[in-house]
Amino acid sequence: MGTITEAQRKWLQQLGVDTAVAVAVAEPESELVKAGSSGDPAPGAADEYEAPSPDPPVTGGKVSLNPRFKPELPYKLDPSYFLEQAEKEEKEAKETLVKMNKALADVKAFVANMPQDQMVRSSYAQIMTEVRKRFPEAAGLSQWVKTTENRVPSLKGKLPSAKALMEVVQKEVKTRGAELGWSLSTGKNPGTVNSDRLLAAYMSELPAGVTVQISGGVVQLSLEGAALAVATPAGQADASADKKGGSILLKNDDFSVQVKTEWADFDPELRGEWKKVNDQASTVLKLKADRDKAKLELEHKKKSGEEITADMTVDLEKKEAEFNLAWKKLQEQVTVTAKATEEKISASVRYLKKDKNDKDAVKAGLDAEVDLKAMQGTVKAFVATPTIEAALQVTAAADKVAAKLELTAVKSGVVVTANFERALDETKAAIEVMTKDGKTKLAAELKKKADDLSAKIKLVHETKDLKLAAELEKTLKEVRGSIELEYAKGNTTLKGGVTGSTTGEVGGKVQIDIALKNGRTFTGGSDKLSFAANVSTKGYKFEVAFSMGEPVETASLQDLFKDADAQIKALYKLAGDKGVRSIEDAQALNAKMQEVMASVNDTAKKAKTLKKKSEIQASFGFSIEGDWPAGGKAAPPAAMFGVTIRFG
Amino acid sequence: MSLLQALNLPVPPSLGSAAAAKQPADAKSAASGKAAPAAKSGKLLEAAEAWRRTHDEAQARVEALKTAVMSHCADSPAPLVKEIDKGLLKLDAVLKTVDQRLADALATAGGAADGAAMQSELAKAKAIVTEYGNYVKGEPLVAHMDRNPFGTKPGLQALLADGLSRAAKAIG
Repeated sequence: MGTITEAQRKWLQQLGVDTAVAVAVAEPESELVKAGSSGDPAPGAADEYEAPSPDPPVTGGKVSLNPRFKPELPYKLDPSYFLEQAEKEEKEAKETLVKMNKALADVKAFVANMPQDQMVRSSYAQIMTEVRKRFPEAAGLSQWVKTTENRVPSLKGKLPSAKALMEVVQKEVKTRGAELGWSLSTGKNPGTVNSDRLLAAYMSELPAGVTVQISGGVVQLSLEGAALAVATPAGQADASADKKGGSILLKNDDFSVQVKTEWADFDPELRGEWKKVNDQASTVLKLKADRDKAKLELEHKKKSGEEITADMTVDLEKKEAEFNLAWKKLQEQVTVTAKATEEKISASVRYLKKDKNDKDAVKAGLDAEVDLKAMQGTVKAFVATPTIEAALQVTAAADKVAAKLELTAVKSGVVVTANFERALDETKAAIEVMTKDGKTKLAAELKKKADDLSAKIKLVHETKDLKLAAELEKTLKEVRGSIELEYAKGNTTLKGGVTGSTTGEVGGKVQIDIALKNGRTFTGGSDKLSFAANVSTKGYKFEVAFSMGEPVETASLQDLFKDADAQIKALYKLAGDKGVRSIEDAQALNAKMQEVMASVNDTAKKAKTLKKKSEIQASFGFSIEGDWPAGGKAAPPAAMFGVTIRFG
Repeated sequence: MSLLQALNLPVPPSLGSAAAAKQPADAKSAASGKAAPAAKSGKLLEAAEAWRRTHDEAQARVEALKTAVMSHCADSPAPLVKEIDKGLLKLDAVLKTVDQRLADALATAGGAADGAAMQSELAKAKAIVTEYGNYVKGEPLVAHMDRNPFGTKPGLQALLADGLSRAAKAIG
């Protein structure tokens, strides 16, 4: 490994590599024909490199299949080859530009032709969600513009703005007077309007794979991807923890803390039923979008006089049928679940109000009654005008009342911690074995955590604080994960027979495979932005959270997601690295993985936030109604795995 | 060839003269195409195998070059490493063009049932050799790899030219 020399840089450039992306590389020369050697050449390599000369010397050779075939001719690098590559790139960019412009025109037409009743009930975020689904090319516009500006400078000035998608949607919405209508008819407050616009603005500029949501003033973005299969010296990576050979086997995997309620009228499955309805509504929405897209395409073809094939008509009919079927099912589900819910909640209300001396219960009953009436109102509206939006409103209202009742039930219930305590006892026994095995330092750390868990579980009994219970479950999982990891590492050394093993392999399993199989969570960020990258052989999830009060500019987020995607893939590639496969020490392996992910943390730290209202308006291109909420630090995204690697 | 001859049955004397009169014509026919010469077939099959080995060797050398470049640049900033990784993929174009079609054509010619089929397959193989030859000669990427400044000497042009030369010899 070493510095890239001038000759090497030129060689890479001639291969189409944009060496300008690197800061550590020497300043490029403008000519291709001169090959300097300003850096440290690779031993015996860079010095012998000569850049192509327009008139190279000729050497002899012997192959002669035909008079024109002289493979022994010396190398003559034809600059036109690379010019051709640049031209090809420009041509492709121009073709994509045509597609992008068409996609923007389609988006414009879609928003302009959106039925008025839909428009009235919609929002920027809903429209943008629909647009990203229908016109995936437009969803990638912002990043494409930024990349193309750099790669094809000749197109600068001809490309649309990186914010073009939001601009087009916003312009059409305003032209139709919908923005004003939304404020007047739906009684939206400025806070809702502003978060709606911010959400839509992010959606318009982030790649289609990134999901965006704003909840409780926190912007949450996430990207999920499949694990990368990496060829290893022994074949394909097959990461799995070698638990069988361990001297410690943790059996009690159920360590959930539950609440048992004597409240017979409360049905804990209620919220689950509504979740199913909500999922069905999402399916219907998707099917509707698919059908509408097919319909729009057909109409577009009709208008432009293009040929309409039988396949297209059949496809539309199929989509129409699928939608109708799903929609019918949803209507039935809403009706049936709503009826059952009304009965159950009415019973719950009666139960809560029966003892007038129990003021808390009576208050909860009255509250539930109000929410029940609100829910009944949405059901009535749905029956009168059955639309998907109305179905979603019923779902939301039902979830609200069910959630409140669940909380009330928890307060009146009994905390059941038998499974948790059994698992904790087992864990403590394992820690004792660790101590006897001489793993005293780690054992002491874990014992402290286990004792802390014992103390806090008592608190859960008293307070019935399910949030705290969830934290305890998580901590216990982490402690057990550390034990398993330590013993998996121990197996590697013991079974290998020698502590100085150069392969780190045990029965085909190595530490990196085990680590990726068990999963690692990387957390970090800055004082304004937090991220969590959860990586395992099942796939990865990269999440970012920050306060809406101080939003992160889109370019920074684009960089962050791009970098995270690349580094997570690099992390998977470690499984194919001989050196990494020989690492036996868990700490050293974690350090190596941290090293790979470090650039994500650096990029996160560099992320620029927008502090002032004026900055936000200018950056996203929308006007802000009223005051923008105050900034703060959002809670970091959830860690999914027992072993968390934190950046300081 | 008569049905009796084809079935290896003795030809009755009454038909013997007619068969004898026909013999020179059949012999001529066999020489021109019926029985493919066994020695030639063997040579062609060997040449097919040789080209496969040449191609595999070339592939290994390209991979070695890529590894050398990536190892040398591993400490570079992440965006540059990504760019290089992407750039190196372009090298694969060479062995996607100069591929195994030649081995397939040589093997088909070597396994041909008769002389005519062999000649037809040899014509195809010859065309492929010409195509590869022109490519190896004219494609800047081949020489670009050979003259890399990363300390490896793939010698691709020579390797491929040598392989082609041997294939050409076998074709005749």
